[in-house]
Amino acid sequence: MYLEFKDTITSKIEFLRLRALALQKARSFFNHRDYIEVDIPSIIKFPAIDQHIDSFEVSDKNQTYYLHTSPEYLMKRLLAKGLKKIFYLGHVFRIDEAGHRHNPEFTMLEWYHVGFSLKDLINETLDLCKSFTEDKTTKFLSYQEAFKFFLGIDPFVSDQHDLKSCAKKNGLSFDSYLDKDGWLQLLLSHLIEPCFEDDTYYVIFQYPKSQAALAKTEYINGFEVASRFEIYYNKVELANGYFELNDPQEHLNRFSEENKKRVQIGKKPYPLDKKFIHSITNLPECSGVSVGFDRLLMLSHRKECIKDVLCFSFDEL
Amino acid sequence: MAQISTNDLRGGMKVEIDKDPYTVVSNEFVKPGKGQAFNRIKLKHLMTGRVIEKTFKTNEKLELADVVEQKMRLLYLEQDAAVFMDDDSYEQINVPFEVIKDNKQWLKEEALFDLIFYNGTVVDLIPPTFMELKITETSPGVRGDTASGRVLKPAILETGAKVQVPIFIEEGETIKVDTRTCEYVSRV
Repeated sequence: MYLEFKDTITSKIEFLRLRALALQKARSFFNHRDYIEVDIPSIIKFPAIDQHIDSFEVSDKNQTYYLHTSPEYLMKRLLAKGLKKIFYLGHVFRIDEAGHRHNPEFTMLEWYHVGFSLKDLINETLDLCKSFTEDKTTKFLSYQEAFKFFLGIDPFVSDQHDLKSCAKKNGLSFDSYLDKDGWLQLLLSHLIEPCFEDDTYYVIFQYPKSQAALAKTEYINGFEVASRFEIYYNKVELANGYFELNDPQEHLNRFSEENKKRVQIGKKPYPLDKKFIHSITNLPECSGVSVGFDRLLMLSHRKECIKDVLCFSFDEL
Repeated sequence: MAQISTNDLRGGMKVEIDKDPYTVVSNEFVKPGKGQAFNRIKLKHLMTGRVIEKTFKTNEKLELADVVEQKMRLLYLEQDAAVFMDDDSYEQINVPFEVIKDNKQWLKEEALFDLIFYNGTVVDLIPPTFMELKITETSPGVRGDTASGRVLKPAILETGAKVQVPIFIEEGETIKVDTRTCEYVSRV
């Protein structure tokens, strides 16, 4: 028993040297490309508004603050003030997210580039990821193509009932209520992702408008889709990027929609960050992406569990 | 009945789904960065042993199954049931052989078994991991057999279990056996 304990600690101590090197490597990737590192605050006054992401609350004697779940809002305020190429490499915090690939505190690598197209950003993200892994193969599939190819259904025209019977047909046992996006997310995570080939990057793009988050939308073949992509490697979701929405009114619409959904599922709505909304007026056309840095480390060193690459995981505290 | 959030389920916990009791084998948290969180749970049916996989939304509530484990001593065997007793309360209980299934081969009087109760009824029992049992039937060991590479021979134990024993073990001897694997451990 004693030996076993000692062994895991020893291997982790050795791994932390590799983690430190990887942090340096990521920073030098961006330094070489003339990005500026911005170490924005992690205690914020207004949390990101997303129905499926919950912020830790921290309080002083007078007020409640939040730990940021992503550096997005403050980084965009910097872009609105005139910075053109910025990156953040640091910790973010999300309640209840714990598992083999999740830790409530994790390391986010997020960057924004003014005047960069989404296509350029996809290539840059692949360059970064591939500098950490050996494999170079990449497959590109639109969201619609992925559903058609792996499940034989069209995600844009199918309704909840179609998606439910698709799940059943494929042996997926799920009985509770989900809205359409919930069903799409269930099918993608349980039936499509496991079909992705090993040692291959998958770029999934043109998400449904309802899953645009803060991406702009465009019309493709008659469907309004989000200018959003995700990158997967070895069946693991690694990156999420947008051609960024810069219409303040549309921000208000989407936030109010998210807050409505939060209330529907029994969560409290989050307050609006007025300074952020106000800054959007000055947000230039830009692209931005975030990469789960701990997952990148897991994949580059073939580790199964996120806790194998962290100094201490949440349950080791 | 007590409930538990799907995100708090851990291996070994007992839950009730559609009126059937299951042991949780594993629980995997699955969540897209932007999107609904799920728990993908592997469950083993308490009686049939069948393993199934089910997905729930994170923080959905499941019913905990009323399952308790109790150590009881085997008193004697009847025509189609075994009679156990609680050493503390002297309470006795009849467990039909159809519930005991394959573990019938380990029923030895005076031994302590773990009885699994679901809603107050015995649904399974676990024999002691190691038992010392007498060999009631085996062929005599023949000198020289080891040369042909044959080092084990079949034997039948007093409880009816069939195990492979080394050829030097004789009928009437008592051996220690691992009930999980049906393997000979040592001479007693």
